[in-house]
Amino acid sequence: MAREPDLRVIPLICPDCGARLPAEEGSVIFPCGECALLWEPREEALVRRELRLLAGEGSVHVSFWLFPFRVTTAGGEVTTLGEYRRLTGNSNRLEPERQGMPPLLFIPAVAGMPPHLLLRAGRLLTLRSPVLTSRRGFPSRLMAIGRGERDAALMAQTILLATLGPERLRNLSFLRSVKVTVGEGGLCAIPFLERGERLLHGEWSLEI
Amino acid sequence: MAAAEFGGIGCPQCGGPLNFREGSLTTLCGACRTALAVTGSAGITRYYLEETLDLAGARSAARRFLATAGVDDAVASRLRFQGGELCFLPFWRLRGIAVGWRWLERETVIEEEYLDEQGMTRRREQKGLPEQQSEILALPVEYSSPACDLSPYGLAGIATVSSVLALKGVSFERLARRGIVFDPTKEAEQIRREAMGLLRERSLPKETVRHEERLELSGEQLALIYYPVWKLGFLRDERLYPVMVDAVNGRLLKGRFPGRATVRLASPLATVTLLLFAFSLQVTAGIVLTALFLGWLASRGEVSSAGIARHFFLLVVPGKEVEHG
Repeated sequence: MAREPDLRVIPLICPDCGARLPAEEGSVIFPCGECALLWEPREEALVRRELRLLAGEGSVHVSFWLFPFRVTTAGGEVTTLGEYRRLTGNSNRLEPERQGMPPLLFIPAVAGMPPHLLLRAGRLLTLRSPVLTSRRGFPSRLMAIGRGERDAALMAQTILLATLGPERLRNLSFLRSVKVTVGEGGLCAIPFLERGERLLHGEWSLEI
Repeated sequence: MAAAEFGGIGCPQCGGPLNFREGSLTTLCGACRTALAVTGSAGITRYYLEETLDLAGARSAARRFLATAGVDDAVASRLRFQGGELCFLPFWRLRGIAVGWRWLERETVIEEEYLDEQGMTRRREQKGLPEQQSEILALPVEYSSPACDLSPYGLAGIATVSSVLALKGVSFERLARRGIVFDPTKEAEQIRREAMGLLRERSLPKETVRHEERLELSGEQLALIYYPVWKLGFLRDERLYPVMVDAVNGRLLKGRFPGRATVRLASPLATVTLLLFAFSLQVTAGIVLTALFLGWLASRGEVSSAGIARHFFLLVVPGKEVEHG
């Protein structure tokens, strides 16, 4: 095997203000508390990442990757939120103006979350497809971000399948035919209330 | 300590030595307290474990083993090791989360009641229709494997040690100055296949008749960890005996030693005395006894000049070699 280059280390110092970035266990993207920016190591430099802060009540912010997506199945192509709702069998009323919007996959970016909780959190939020209201600012408490965009995109198909009903999943031809294509991902921070070990989002009736 | 004095990667800010933890993508410089992100070429991080034993320490560890292992005392006391090489043996470590779906068909058993000839109610089990089900999987992956054939070194795995001890970042040129660095012959792709194959096999429920799955590895952390081992050797009767000593904890990993020799003075002396005594009594008795002796040798397949010479002149019989590991 050809000799590979050695291990590389990149100092976690904010390229904008020179402040030292905190390196929490499992982090892959690092927030700068001074200038309210996120930095991700790529090759031998730190690259800026945008963070969308969502409005809501909560003391701690959990980061999620948001991917617009479309699904091709044996039954056809799903490209809008309305079609996605029908695919999942969700009969709850959807505002007419949101029918034609692209559906969004929510994939937890938080570090150290056990695989089954990760799947559950992604499934619940994707199924709910909540209305997202952004606000200006930077979260004061952001849980460590332990999943990069590429890794999150690898989970897209699994999270999407987790949102479908068991009848569809029992059909092997259907499973074979599912192909999820994701667009460019964006990081968002969702506020949660802390309830002991659990995190609660009151407005969306969501507990993870 | 300046970066050039140790074998690992130094802090880019102050040059101080860095310690790493397996599976962690960040570290903190102990000297200047700068946090550092860790990346590797093609996503592979390369580390090594530092040896805690020097050559003298490794030899002492081998001698301590000799004292308790049934090796010839004379050999153990006179044994002189010749040279010694520090080897860095490569191991792959893979972590991540396997995500995807699995569809499977399982055998089912139906229990039914029936009336026998005497009108008694009995139960019997019958094979039912196969049951189809599917599951969405998100399973943790943790896999370790030697990166080349390490059987001559007696080291099968390093999973526990590497997750507990501090690691150093590999700078190949510096590490090669300290010892022999083995190249991995197993490619990273093979490790991924092995890990996923093992996971599929272990997570598959019993009674599965047919299955299909599609799994992908997310959050992959692939590391190549070099483990230090001392390769010692000694010559005895023109034969080279290799000994491998774990350079971290002094454990003897693999070795072969001459066995404890036995001196058999009694057997040739007794034969000669008996034959002489028989001949001194009567020549016929001597001849009969000689014939009996040759018959006994024949029964052992040793009627040859070499066999007879061995019986009379081989007074020291080498013991069976002691193998470890």
